[in-house]
Amino acid sequence: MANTATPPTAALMQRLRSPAVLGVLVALGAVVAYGTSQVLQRKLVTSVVSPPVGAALSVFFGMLFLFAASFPRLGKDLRAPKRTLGFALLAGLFSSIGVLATYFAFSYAPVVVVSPITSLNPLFAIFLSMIFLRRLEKITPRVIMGTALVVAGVVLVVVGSRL
Amino acid sequence: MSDTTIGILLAFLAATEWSVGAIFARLAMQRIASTTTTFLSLVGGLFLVGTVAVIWKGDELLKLSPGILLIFVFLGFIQFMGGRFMNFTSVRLIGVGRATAVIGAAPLFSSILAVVVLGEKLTLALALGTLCVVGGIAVIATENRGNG
Repeated sequence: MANTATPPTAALMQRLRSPAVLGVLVALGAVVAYGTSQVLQRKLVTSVVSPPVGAALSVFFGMLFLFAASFPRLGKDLRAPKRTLGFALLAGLFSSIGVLATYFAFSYAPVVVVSPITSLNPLFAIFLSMIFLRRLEKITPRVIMGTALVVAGVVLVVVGSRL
Repeated sequence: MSDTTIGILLAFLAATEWSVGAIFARLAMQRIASTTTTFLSLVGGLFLVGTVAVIWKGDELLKLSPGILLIFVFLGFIQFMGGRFMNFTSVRLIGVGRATAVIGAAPLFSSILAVVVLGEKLTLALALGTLCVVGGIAVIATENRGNG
């Protein structure tokens, strides 16, 4: 019996390697990365650099890292239709306005106020998808309930920031 | 208009622009890898923010010390490689809904970190508001959309 049983550490490692657990752990890693970067951005724009310089530098160094990460597939992907490449560049133009606006936001208001509001972007993305990519999203009672909760949260953050 | 109000309006602008960017990124990722999409989006983004920085604060760019540049190397890594790469990876592993629900908790983490590291004041209304935003996004993100 003892020979067939999986040792506890091996069972734990096997469980940690499952996509479901690994996915949640990686998502938590993203939470730490986003959270840390927001606090660092606030610190930098309030004491070291101006918002446009901060945004430009972080995008520049981020681009260098992503160049290294995308390098193996870059040649093949760049042969994609021009329309696809145009979508990626447009994504960058809009997102960079978002990055710039965030740096300016952190120069005016604290992280505890800015962070919950910037986190609304998945909500806006869902609603934009409902309008422009109708085949992907539907308005359901659950979406309405979630939206009501988010709106209530934003009202509390806006009101709470003035107390 | 108070500084906080300007900050709130800019935060709303950031959220809407990111969501428009996400729609275009989703369209691009139908044919090219997420890493390539992010790289090309940063090339496009650098064109805009770089131009603004050079025209507006070009002199400041020339005066940056190596230490500050090193901090931005770290920031560029955690913001774009750490945040976005792990975001895309978690979406691939557990789907958009669950990944968005977990990553939606980022404001909770950043708020706690801001209180501890920057000494920011978190009122009851701000804490409840943050919880409602995170909870609401989780409710929407875990909606079964049938296409992952």
